Amino acid sequence: MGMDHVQRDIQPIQKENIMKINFALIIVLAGITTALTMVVRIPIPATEGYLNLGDMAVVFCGLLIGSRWGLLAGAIGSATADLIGGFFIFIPITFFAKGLEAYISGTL
Amino acid sequence: MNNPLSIRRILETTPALPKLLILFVLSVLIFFVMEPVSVLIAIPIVVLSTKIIVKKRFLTFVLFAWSIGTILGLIVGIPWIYSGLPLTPHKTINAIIDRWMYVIALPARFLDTVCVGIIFINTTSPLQLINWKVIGPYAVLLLRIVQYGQLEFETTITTMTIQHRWPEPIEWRRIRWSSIPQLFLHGLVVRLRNASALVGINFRNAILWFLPWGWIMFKEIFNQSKRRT
Repeated sequence: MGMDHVQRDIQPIQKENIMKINFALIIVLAGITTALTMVVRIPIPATEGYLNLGDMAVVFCGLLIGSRWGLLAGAIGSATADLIGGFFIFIPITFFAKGLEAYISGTL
Repeated sequence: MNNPLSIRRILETTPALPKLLILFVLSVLIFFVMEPVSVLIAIPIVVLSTKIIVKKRFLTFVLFAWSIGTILGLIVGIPWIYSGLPLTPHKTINAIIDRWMYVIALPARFLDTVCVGIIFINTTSPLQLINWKVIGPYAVLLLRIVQYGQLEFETTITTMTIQHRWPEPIEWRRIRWSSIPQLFLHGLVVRLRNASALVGINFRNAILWFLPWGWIMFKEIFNQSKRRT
């Protein structure tokens, strides 16, 4: 009697929802990557760029969810950080480079 | 033809004043942004952000104020160009044509920063993006998790400072100059040792936040947007 209503409320995950969960998880990891890239920002005057914890977050993405999904998470996260920070010109380069970084860290 | 994000559709569905302003902004961006690559990237971003701007009266007011500010800035700036005084403390600009370019491109660059920084994070509520059918809920989730991640990061750093796993912020007035290298090295070592833990804790907290509760709410948002359409 006790746990019946709980079991009725918890429905098994449907097949069509699994892809949604995957994509949403990628977005969550990408968002955390963006936040970590944006919060700690040490400017480097020589290159006019900035140093951050984002690379570590990108490597974590690759290690956590594998190379293919990690590629998407790292690339989207870093590109969003560039978009919000106003570094327009670097968005495509960042997307490619950070995606590759996450892919390599996932395959290792 | 019926693409909701096309420029023609945006211009047809907006009132007259924002329409003029949007055209002005687009033309300024196209003509005065110097790098061709950044023009290619900037145009779709501006089109997308105007799609968001025109929904809010406050933001049309901001754009209106920006255009008045641009005109006033030019009125002040033109004598300034020929006076020979420094335009910016960061760089010396001597040639007249360079000074003209700097003054004219300044409002465009300002709007550029405002569009991206303010519209996407602070002024616009992420819930406005829900109506974009497939991308909408994901965009809302992304913006929400960025906000959550920043808060979470600050909380984690405070906690780790209390646990002596992260260096305390240096009070510059109280320390001796001779102890700066030691403090710097100590801080560097502690940061290097614990940075991976900091990043890992953030990821763990985000996944814990998302998987039971975030997913339920996300699914609810998905269903709501389906019902509306």
